[in-house]
Amino acid sequence: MICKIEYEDNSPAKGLQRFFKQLLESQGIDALFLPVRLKDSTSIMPSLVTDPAQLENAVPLGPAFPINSGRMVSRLSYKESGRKTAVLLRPCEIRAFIELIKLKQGSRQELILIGIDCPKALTSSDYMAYMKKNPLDDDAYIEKIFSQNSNNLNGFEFSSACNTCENPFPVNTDINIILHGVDLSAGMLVESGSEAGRQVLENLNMPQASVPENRDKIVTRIKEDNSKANEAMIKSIEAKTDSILKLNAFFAQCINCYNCRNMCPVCYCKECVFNTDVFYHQPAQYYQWAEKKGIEKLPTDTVFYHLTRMAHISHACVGCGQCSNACPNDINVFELFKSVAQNTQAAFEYSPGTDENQPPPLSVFNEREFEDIVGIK
Amino acid sequence: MNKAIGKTLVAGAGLSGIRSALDLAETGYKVLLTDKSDHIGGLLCRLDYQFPTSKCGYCRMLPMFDRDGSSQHCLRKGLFHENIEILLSTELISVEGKPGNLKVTLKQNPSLIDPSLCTGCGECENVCPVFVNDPFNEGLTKRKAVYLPSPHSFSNMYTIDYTACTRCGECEKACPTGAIKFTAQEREKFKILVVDDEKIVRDSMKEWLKEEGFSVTTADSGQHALETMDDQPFNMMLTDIKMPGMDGVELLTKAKEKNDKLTVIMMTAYAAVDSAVDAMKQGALDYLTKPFDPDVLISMALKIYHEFEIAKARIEQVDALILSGGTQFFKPELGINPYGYGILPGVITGMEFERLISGTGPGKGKLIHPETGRPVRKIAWFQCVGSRDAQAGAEFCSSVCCMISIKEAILAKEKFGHNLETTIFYMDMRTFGKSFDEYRLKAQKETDVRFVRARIHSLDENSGKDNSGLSARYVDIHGNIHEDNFDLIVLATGQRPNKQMAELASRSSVETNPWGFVKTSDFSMINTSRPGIFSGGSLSGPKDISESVTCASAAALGACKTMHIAGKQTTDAENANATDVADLAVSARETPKILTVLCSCGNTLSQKLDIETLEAGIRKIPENKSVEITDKLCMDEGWDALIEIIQKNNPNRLVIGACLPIIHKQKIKELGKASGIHPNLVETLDVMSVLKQYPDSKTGEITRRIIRELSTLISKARFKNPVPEERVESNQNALVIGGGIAGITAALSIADCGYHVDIVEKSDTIGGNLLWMDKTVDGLDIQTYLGKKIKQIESHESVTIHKRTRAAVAKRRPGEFATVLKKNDDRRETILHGVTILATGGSQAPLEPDADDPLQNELTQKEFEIAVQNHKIDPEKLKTVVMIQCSGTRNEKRNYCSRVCCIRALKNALFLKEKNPDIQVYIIYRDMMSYGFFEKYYSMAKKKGVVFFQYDLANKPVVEMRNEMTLVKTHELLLDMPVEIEADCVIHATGILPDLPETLADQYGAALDQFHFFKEADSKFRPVDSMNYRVFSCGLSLKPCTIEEAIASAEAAAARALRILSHGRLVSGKTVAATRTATCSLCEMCVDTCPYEARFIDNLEEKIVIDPAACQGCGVCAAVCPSGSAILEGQDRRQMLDVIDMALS
Repeated sequence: MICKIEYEDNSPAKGLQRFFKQLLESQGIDALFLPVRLKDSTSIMPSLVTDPAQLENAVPLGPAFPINSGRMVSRLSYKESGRKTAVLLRPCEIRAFIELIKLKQGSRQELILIGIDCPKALTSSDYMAYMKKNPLDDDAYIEKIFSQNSNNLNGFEFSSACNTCENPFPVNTDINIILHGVDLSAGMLVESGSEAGRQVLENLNMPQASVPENRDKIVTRIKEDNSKANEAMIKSIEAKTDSILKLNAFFAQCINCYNCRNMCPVCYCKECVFNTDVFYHQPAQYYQWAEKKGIEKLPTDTVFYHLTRMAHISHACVGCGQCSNACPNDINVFELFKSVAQNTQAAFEYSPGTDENQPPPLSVFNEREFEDIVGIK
Repeated sequence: MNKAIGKTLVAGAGLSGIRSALDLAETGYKVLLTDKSDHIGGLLCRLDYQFPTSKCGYCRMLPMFDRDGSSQHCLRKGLFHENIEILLSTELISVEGKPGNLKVTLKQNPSLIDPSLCTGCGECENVCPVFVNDPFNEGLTKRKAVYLPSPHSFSNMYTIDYTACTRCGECEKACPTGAIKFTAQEREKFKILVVDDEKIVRDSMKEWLKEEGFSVTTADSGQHALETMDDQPFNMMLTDIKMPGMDGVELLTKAKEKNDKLTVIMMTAYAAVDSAVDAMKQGALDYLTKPFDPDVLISMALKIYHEFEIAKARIEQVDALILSGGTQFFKPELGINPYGYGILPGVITGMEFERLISGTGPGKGKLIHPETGRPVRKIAWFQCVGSRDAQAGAEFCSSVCCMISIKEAILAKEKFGHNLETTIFYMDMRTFGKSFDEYRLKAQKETDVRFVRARIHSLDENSGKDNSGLSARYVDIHGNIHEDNFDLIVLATGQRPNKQMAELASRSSVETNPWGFVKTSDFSMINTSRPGIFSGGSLSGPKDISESVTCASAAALGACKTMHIAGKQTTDAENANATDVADLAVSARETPKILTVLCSCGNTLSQKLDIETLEAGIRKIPENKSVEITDKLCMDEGWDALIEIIQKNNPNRLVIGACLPIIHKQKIKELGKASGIHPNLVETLDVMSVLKQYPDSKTGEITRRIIRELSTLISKARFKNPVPEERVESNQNALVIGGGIAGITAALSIADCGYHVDIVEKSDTIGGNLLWMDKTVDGLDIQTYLGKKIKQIESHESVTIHKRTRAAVAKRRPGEFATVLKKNDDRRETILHGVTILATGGSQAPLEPDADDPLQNELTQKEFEIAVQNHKIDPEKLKTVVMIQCSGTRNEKRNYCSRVCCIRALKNALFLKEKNPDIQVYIIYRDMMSYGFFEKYYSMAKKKGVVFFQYDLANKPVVEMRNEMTLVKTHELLLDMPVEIEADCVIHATGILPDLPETLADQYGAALDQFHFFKEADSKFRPVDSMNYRVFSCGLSLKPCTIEEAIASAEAAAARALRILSHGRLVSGKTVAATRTATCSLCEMCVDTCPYEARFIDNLEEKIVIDPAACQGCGVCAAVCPSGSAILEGQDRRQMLDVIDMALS
């Protein structure tokens, strides 16, 4: 089912706000979860909204991406709440959430998942700088991204995660909001992706529509462009990190703050092993290491930490780039992670977040697998 | 009153003997496990690879709970279990008495090597001058008279081949630990009387014999000798024949009157062989001709002494006896057509081929021609050598050779390159077992093994220029003559009964069948004609691994039942109070204080290592408080010294570097008792093996290596936490799902051993498929048998039968299941049980007519039998019957053989011929699967005039209607032309369909295979188990099988279940999984990945719980858990990191 979101005032942003207001007021939806501009601030944060009046500050499509909301939705849904919530997520947030569902950290039972063509994002630091320099209003931003398909925002580059994203279109959703290829002056499209989504749209009594023919071409072109950018990025990062010495140098600025881990949507542990006594070494231990090599950098276990994270979750990395976003010392953790994740995911033929029924690779046992690596034939 | 603990003798420690013994031992009974040979493991010790994995899986038979009560290593290396006493080189001589009270006599070869002292250093082997053919390698290699019984043996303990040993004594001199004792003190107890009138002879003989350690007395005359014999008893007398007064022959007679067990050797001054022979007729054992070489005398005395030692029989009281003697291979050289075996180079047996390609065989894993040493390019296998051959005394099929040859062909290709050409010449490819046919297809299609249906008629040495050793001529099925060259010809030699066991059987009034296999009673594969004596494994007929294991478990069930009826109890009662948890808790809290002790092994250590550097290196390690070097840990004095050292240093953890016998698990337990250090806190290093492994390393290098190895052990010891083994309360009731013969048998077997059973049957009646069957092919009356069983189960006080009921929902939790039973009228009842047996059965597949091919006088074998029973078909009125085999199986849809259809066809064909000798019966088949003793019915049918036409998949027989007549068209392979038969009725073998719903299996944590049969934990070594250790299957839901086989599998499932049911609490291994709930995110990855179904989510408490007895300590859960919340007790992360640090230092 495909419907049209109409708006009279030629403001897609307002049109979307009205759509969400209608949704929240409709039968069976108790709450909305979507990005909202905080009061007296330029910050846009994911928020749980129950009062339709609050939606006038909603910014469904903006350049701010301070956090991967997949993780937040997991908090809202890992147990029953007794409420039905419609949740608006970027494609990489949906993928992260699907991974978390597989890990029993969330459930879509009480959710209506709403996806949207990705509006791209600046890194958090660029976003703050951009907001200080005559930023575009919400409608202009939508126009720039979806009609002009621009790669540049008043001189600011979009984050490398967005530029290299090969899946910037939503899958696995109940409802999709479609922008690319659509004449935004005449309204935007909304499409149901599941039976539940269809019912929600039906309740809203919107006019039917169809997807313009040229959308497919645009989708393919964006994917191809991003794919090319991705290839170049991977090549360059691999050259920078292809030995343990280079890796040490790459992480030389790392202070073991673990922000990258804290912001990673698929790092789902209640307590990370790096916070446990396993890495709370005996004082004598540091001296032993130092004595062995003559010198020991503190904090220790830096590269070990990053390698462990790759071992644990590179198969599930959705490429959202929040790790780099969170790094206080501008280490491009994302690029390295994506280069590793790409190999892990190819090896296990695993595509994180795109197929809810594909089990995580570690939970699957194949008798004959990687025979060349494990040496058993 | 304390009841006695049940005890069973298992004679034969091969595959099936070990299975029976372990089943009994795990249930809690004592076992005496004997074997005639010098090692356990039987035939499988010499087979490296098994189908279908091309690997071995022997270890999968090891106990799964209370793992530390037994060894946990390769069964070819040896076996240890607290409840099993193993006696090697031991034969069972006789059995007397009744079930529950059997007196068995055992003859054991005395050991000349003390196993507690032998370090396996091999010095004895180096000096031994005797070379003999090594039977382990089928004589393809030589070995010494002192040798290691098997190359895998863990203990590496040497043994002496008495028949080959010349008693030169070199090994005794060479042995550094004094483990070899030819002049054992025991010899002093062997008393020899030397009688000769010549003093010089007397004295010199006395001197020689005394030197060997015997007690020698002399007498100068016959009279004197008799007087001396009155004073003390003698074992042996050496007497001169010609003596003044009483001569030697008279003395012999009189001495024998006094002591008829006396061994007498006659001596004669000249070759008066006649009188010596006379003397031997009167009871002398042998004679010596004077003058004789002392060596001859000594050798003779030693042999007699050895016999005397052997004759000291051991008599044991046991409750039951399991005979597990296995089979022997047919010797091709004894056949009417030996195929040039022993004459033509390159003709070998299958067993020789297995040894040839073995890593421990002559080629050390490389395939070279055994005689020419040249590489091998073309190999042929000849099937049925000594099987299916009345002339060879074997009108039976050996059942296993087809699969063995396919495996060998695949193996040869996998290991030695796909350019190798492999051909199998066969009569019928008998791929009748579960997944066998699939394997054959794999061989044909993927591995490119050539299958040729032909018998070779002649074989010659090829003198041609291409040097392809052998030329074979054969006629193909169309009658064309072919000639082909091969480098190697492998004879698939058939199975023969174990001769010694058959002799024992006849001595013990256990009946045997016409071919010498032990005969089992009607409908049973384990009950012999004598109550209390059971046949395990292949003793009752050729069997593959899974069938042997199944029968072995079934035999264990027989023994369990016998012991239960005799009122015997298990060891559980004995062990009830034995825990020392409190002591352990204390040592876990103490700061680690480690003592490292090294055995210097004489001066070996100081010769090879820089001791100062070594000590300094180890002292540097924190927590390692001291290093001590001591000597002779293998001797009592050294052992005492060690305990003193421990007491002096007062450590709470210990690292010992010594040789294998010292670091043996039991020895460490012993040390624990003496020193107060828990065995879990002792780490050991086999220093001597490390030294042996690097013989050429420089002192500095090897010293560093030893320091590194010890350091890792020290860090391992440092983080060890001796948590006590976990225990789980285990429900002692059983649930059997399915009321066919398998279910009934399983339920009765368990109930007969004293445990409550609920049996669930979805229909109105129990009995299953047997309800429609009349007689077996052997002519046994099925209804009488079934009636008896139904009566038994209906009146059994420990069985509750739930008819018209299904197991609707089941919940798993540690130690038990909760199953909701749902009646047809929707009434529900929840029962709790500790084990589940899935015996849901199966059925004959229905005929599936195509739309354009309706059925025309066609029916299934089952429909035919029922029609005859109901007099709807009168055999006397039929003229022509055609049976079409593999109608519904061995095709793309159901690619398996249903095993029973060929036998059923033969039965019905013979029945028709008996009722109506004029009837024409055609059986159109692909491969006649008349395995084992069923072969005789195939021969019988051919004799009675049943016509067999063969077809292949490319040309399937077609049934048509023409002029009101049913017409069967087939392409006959022998004639290579189409054949049309007008038939009154066409009977199809549609095959067997299992009836095991996936949802049912799944809720018990069991799985199905691709054809929806129950998936075994291991198709060969755990044939009735699922990966969930509390779930078993038997009968048709497990695999296609005959009634006897269904019953045996049910008994096996019951035996496996009893291992669990007999314990109210089950003990885990010491390495066991646990969960740190505080940090656990409940992602359930550990639950999903646990291969043993040991982890469960407790939704109420919101945590992961574990059945510690199910956990095998594999650590997969710890590996998938990113937060370290799934852990393995005893395998701490810090410990791992520290060990790695040490290893890299």
